[in-house]
Amino acid sequence: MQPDPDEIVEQRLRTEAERRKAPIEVVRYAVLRRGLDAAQSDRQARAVAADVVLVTATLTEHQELERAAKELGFGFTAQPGRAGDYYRLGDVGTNRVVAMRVSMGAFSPDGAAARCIQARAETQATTIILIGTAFGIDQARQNIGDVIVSESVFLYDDRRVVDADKGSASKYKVVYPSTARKVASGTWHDRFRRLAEQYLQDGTAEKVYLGVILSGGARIESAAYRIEVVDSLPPMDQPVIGGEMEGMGAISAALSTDPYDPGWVVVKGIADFADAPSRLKIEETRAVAARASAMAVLRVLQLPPKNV
Amino acid sequence: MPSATNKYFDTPAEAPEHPKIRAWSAWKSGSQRVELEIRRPREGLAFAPTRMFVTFYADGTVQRQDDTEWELELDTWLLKEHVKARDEANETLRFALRLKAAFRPIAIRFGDGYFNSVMVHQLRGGPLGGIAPLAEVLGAIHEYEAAGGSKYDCEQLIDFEITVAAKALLSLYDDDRTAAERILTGALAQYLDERFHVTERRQLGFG
Repeated sequence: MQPDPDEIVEQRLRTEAERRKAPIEVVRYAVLRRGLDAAQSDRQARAVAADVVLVTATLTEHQELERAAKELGFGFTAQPGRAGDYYRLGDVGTNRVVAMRVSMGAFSPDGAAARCIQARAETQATTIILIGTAFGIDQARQNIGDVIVSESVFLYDDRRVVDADKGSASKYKVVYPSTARKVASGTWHDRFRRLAEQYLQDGTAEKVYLGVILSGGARIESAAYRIEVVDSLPPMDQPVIGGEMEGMGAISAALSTDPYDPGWVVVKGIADFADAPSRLKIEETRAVAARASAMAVLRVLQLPPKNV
Repeated sequence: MPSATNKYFDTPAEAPEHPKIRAWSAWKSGSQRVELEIRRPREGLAFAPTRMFVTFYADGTVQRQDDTEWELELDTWLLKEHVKARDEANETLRFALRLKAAFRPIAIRFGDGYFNSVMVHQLRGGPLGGIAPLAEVLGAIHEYEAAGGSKYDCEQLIDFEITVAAKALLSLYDDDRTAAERILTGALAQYLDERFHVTERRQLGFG
């Protein structure tokens, strides 16, 4: 004869009440409450579960992502998470996608580093994509609104500054450890290359560049400093294509993953060239760049698998 | 006019052996037993770099020891030479790393979201899905069912890699299917735990 499940539950409640030396009704209430909490927590977790988290920093970046998502027919529904709000875009291609906004830069308590770690755990996403705006490096080849994609990110704050060699014109020199350069997710490189080709074929005004993106805490508005940073870099097998401020945060989040299979990529639109003249127009160019980055990412997420 | 002699055309193509394999091969011939230990300690939310330690024994004493960063090529050579990890937990970690390397190209080909979805659903419905600790990890992952025409191809590739691991374990453990199944189940659980941040969620209090 099968044991009665209700009787089994009652027996366990009686045993627990005896162990706690408490009335059975108190134990019943505690168990019910725990069960309801667990169910609510599970519902919350399912509501924000995602494969990909899109991260923006400024209000403009967030708004442009929302606009791009809606234009392409995706949602942008706010969904409360334990550590902040998420915005559910729904299924983009074969990926469940949510977006979130972090503070600008990587250092504030709700900046990219902390929020990306929390978001990765809360949503169980396997990829974090940092979108938004960045500065370009080469005004002769690059234009406002072009998209830069990180094959790697160079953390230019991760450096040793020592006295210069005798006879040097400079008073100091900068030495970078090999760990300053972090390789981004290979899963996405190929898809962004396909997007770059697609843009060329379609005659899209924006271009897509893949290469090394500088990331650091400084808001650079001086061509002299930008040039100094670029000149201080060791020789690399990929071109330096731009720079930004939040990448290092996402990378902190991804460092606990396999270095050969990192779960992040930085995709940004060029809003300026980190110099005084281009920064003067930043109010106009920021939205153009943010939109370009959002569109590029949403298109890539919709690309079908290779060779299928 | 072609050159009279040309090493690229006139000699057979042979891949040079990994220097570690050359050394280990020589040391193995002088020893009776070889043991592998993989170390990958958790450091908070992160992992320290994975290293492999190989010990060569003769007459019950250690003859040689060597260590290096974990590489699939080296591990595959050790597997071919029938070298077991020091204990079952370590064997589980070893196969979790092997599965991760094997699944990587599939994730790149099909994309993260699609691969995640197919992988989780296939394991849930597969012969190991109800067995601990895999069942527990699968229960902690919130995945939806994949839709689309490539599902069959993706499933086939995932199945193939799991089968390769299963066969390798059977061969390594002299057809002890119970041990092989236990290790494979644990390795898949470990792979999924890391991919979907299950332990990390718990550590950060997300349940």
